[in-house]
Amino acid sequence: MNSNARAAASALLLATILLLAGWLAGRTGADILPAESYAANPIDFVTRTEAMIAASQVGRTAEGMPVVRPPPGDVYVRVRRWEFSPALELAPGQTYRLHLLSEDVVHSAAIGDAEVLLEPNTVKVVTLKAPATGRVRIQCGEYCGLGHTKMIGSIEAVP
Amino acid sequence: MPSALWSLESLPPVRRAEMRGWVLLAVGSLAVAGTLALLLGLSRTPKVQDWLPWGPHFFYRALVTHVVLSFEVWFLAALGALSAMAAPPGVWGDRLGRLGLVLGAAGVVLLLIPALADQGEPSLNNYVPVVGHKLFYVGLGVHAIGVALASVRLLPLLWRRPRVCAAYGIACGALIYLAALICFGLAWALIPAGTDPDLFNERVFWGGGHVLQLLNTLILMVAWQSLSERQYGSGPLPAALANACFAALALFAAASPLIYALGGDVLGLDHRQIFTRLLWVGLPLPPLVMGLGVAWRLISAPRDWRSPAFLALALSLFVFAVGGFAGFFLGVADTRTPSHYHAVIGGVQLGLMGMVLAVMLPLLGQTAGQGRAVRVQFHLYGWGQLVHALGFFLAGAAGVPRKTTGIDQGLDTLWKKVSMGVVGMGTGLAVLGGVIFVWMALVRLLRPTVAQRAESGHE
Repeated sequence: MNSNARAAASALLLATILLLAGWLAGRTGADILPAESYAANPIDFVTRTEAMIAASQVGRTAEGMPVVRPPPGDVYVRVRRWEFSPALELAPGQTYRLHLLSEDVVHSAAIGDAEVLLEPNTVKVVTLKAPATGRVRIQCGEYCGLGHTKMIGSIEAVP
Repeated sequence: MPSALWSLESLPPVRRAEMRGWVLLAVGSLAVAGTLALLLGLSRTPKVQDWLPWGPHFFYRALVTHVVLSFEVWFLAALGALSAMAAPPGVWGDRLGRLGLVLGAAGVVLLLIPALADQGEPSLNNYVPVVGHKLFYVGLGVHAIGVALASVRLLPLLWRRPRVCAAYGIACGALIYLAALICFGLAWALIPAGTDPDLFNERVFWGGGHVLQLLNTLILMVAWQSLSERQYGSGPLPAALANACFAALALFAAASPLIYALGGDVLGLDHRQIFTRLLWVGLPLPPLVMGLGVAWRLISAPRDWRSPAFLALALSLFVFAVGGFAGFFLGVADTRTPSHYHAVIGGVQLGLMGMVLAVMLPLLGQTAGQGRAVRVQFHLYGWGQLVHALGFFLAGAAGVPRKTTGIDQGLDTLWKKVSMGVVGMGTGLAVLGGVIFVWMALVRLLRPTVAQRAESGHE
């Protein structure tokens, strides 16, 4: 019994050491959303966003934000405590490049199971293919204040 | 290495006095946390809230302080009590323990002040939420140093061979705690000055907060070891395997500070995610192995449903296992996350409650007995936590966001409303169980011991 217990203990410690080595070496960032980035002047970015809203809004609001239906391609999203603006309505199956800029503090955009960190003054561009139907969940994954858990954007695939 | 029971004779009076102090601090913190929870409820009650002398941010300040007392102080003061049981005998060890206890208690008093004085910006960051006030940070730091002093004296046990198997586990707990403190310190030093306070709080407590989850798990495993010894005369596993389980958790904790050198920018996403993976990779195996040992004991040995040690073993294993299983089905930021951690932490709480009632009180010359109150307490708390977690899981699966109240929860379907009703029902049961535990423990900690009462003719 004693030798069995020792063998089991050795096996457990060996497994732990292997797991530990894997953990320390495993900085693969598998949950990080691939993104391009560029520096941007926040005023220019707001101007581009407003122009997109003026050109593509559908005349409705979602939770106080204008809903826009931009053509496939570049889409601009302002990020600030505690909102992603505007609300997006996308064509199913089309590919969009979301330009995300934080206007105040560090936020993140968690889309599906992956996430990208959003630092002020740096635009992150992520590629998104709209699903056939339904919502794409986008929300902040970096604690940013008391309203953090309510910071959920609206992206919906509408035929 | 033989496994041996803790005994009244094995603890000198000075250690018993210190242990009593730590247990009083731990259970007293739960009592204050419960009172704050009551005030939280009142501060959200129409009409009643107008009579309270606090501003609109009181809810969050009280919430932060409630969490820190019931989550951090309760576990860390319990580690202090365990350290008094396990530390090698010696004058320096006794002095460190006493000083640690004084600092541990002083820190709690300090961190309470901002909430009661309605001062400081609350921050609901992960693991150690804070009130942004100097007194709160100083209180937290003083408490942490107190527990560190008590823990340091256990380190020699890591290379000696303690007679009591759980003592090695407690020494591993001390190592994990000190590793968490190093992580907090490294993060504090590495985060650039001028960082937004919310991001600062989140990242300063992120790495060490994860390491503290290893400590909570280890405390549960020490409780399983001690409760099994109390109930069955020996631990759930052979001593060598039990010690390997304790050491496996400690190894991960000891390596964690390396992440501050290897894991990229302390404010980056890589850094955040590598600590998340710590819990996936480093935490499950040791409690799984020991939990299987406990399960085998519960199945193969006689089941005494009147015994507090048996109830604590059985319910803590069941609730912890359900919570651990739920951890594989988490959403991004919905209430499935609190479902998982409420059940897991509920399991740890049940183990620790059993440890206090069935192991620590007898070491202090007290007894919790096998009366109805003890049984009801374990059942109310255990099943309450399960119902609570089930409700949160169902609500989260339907999309209810976590850490929100009232209209922000978006309870727009019957399913969501019913699920959150189940959460409330579970909360009520668990709170009742918690109140009975605090009451039973405090009464026994504050009254004369069985021997003293026998001497004075009251028994």
